[in-house]
Amino acid sequence: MMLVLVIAIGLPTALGYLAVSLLLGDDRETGMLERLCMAWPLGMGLVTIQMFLLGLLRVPLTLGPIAALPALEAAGLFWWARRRRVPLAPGIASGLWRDCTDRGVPWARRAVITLLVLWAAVKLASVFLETSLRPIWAWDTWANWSVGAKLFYHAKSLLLDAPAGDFFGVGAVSRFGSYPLHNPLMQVWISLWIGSFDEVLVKLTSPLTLSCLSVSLYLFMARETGRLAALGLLVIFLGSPLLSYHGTELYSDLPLSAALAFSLAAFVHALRGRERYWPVAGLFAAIAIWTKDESLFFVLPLLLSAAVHIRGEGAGRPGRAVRFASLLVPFAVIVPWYAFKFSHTFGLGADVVSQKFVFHPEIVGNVLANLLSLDSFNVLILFLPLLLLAAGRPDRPFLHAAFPVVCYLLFFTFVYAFTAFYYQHFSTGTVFFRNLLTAYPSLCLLDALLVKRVRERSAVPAAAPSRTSGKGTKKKR
Amino acid sequence: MDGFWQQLLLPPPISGVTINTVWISPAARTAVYAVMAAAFAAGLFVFLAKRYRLAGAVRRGILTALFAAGILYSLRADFGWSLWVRQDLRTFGGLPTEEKLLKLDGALYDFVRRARTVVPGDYLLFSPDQYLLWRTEYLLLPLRKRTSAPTVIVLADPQAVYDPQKKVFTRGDLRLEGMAPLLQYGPDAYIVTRQ
Repeated sequence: MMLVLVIAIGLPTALGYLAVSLLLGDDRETGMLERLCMAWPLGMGLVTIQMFLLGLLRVPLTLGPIAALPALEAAGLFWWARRRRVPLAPGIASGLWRDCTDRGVPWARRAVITLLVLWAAVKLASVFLETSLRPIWAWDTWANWSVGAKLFYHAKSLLLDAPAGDFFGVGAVSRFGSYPLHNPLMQVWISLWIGSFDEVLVKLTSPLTLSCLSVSLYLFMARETGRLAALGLLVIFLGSPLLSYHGTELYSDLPLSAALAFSLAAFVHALRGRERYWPVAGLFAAIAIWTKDESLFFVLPLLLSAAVHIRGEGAGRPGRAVRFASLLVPFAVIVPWYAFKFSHTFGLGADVVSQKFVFHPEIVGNVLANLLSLDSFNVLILFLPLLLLAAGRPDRPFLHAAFPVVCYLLFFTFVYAFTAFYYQHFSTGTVFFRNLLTAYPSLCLLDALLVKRVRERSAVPAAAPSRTSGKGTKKKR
Repeated sequence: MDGFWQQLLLPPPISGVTINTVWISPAARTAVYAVMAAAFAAGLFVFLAKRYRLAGAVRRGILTALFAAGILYSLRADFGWSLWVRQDLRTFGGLPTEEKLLKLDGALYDFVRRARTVVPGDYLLFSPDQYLLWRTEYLLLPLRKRTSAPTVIVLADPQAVYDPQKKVFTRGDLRLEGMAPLLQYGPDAYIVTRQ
């Protein structure tokens, strides 16, 4: 069983790793660990998209054809990478080991870093442990996502030989036909490998996604703020109870939050001139859309922000059109899903969402009260506006990176205030924190950018006291 | 220990059938805000003493508050988390998946297990409770619900009536004759099927 699970996870990871490595080419700054963290969510996304396409073509969802395709692709990508001499094993060193063991590092720093590393590691291990203990129990997991997965797994198909209204098993069970299939197909993938729909083992994808997201976020933050501060931020990030909770279940909010954060991180790299990251940002944005429909309200502003950035830059090499195209081309992978969905009159989001409009401006106050309550999340969200004030005038890359996140949050506030359906769900406390969770890692990423800037702006004391005069005279900086 | 300290130091394990929000107690919230304020003040004082300009010291104070309050929050949240993990380790540790489901859903899963052995194929399911309805539907998969199914499953539905003498099942306008009992789990949980 263990070996089978390793293959079930290893194959998409290998595919994702090779895809990332080919896209990044000779980028030496992105180490092996960082690539591995991107590999799992990316590879799994590519696998489920292909499962959907095979399902459309009525190819039975059995292990043979489903696994053969990514295996062949991985082999092909490996051959291509070798042929182009793309480095597949760049350095893995993150500097943490040296910080923990090197006697040249002050003992207090060594102790704090060791403690924080252990804390984060134990926390992630406990999420894996908790996942392995409980079978699927949370309402939205089994009622929306796993019910579809179970149906597809047992039927060995996407149940498309039915009237369009009953596609994806809608006629057989109470589920939403318009929801993207990434999550259920991930569960089908694991089930195909283990040979049954196991209510515990199918959940393994969630803690894995959380781990990849956490390590990747740490590596991003370490570049910005240094390793010690990044570890502190990581422990604070992982200390958000709703995040750990979702790490043990199969809601789509965590995979979406990961895809959005990976996309945003790649976007930041691209904004800073690492051109190879444009398609990576595009691929993760496409996978976000394949995970949940609301991500469109993150991805579209991201595209707009990218367009403005690219337009504002001088015409260098590669040209503006090439840069923007390399961001856009990856979206081709989700065109079949949307073409299918809209050609069969499936809408966006849950089928039960009513179109009735209302106006509840008091929602803004309630949103603020929820944020100040510190429920569900650690203080990182609360500190974002404070850090923004302390950081002073933000630089252009930060503004471009913040734009999609702000638009995404405004979109949610808008639907709470103006639609009867979401207003009601907001009032009963069922949507706010979950929706915020999808933006939470991206907000932490912005936090890290701001922490760096705040530290830079307050790095130097005003003046050192003069030893000769005996009385300190303040020098103007 | 009084209410405040109990709330602060002994958070209850997380629980619930859905995961939309994890509440924190007023005591914990107060403590985090208090530490935030104290850390900011301490940071400001220390960095002013180190001859930082006021703006610089304020910035450093904000960073100090972020890390102090964040670490405190994480300490408490992870303690609550560990209680939940320990509780689940006691409840589910070492059990096979079937037994875990039995622990989780209790009588409902026991009913479903028995139903799986007797329901020949498609079924019709009646329950006024949405959780029971959907959860049973989910647990019974790959058996599927179908409006024309010959087998009827009833779970705590006061509208459903089965007359074993006349072998008639009625629910509202629906009247099915020639229905034989297949499983009687309890007074309000049973399965009947067309003979």
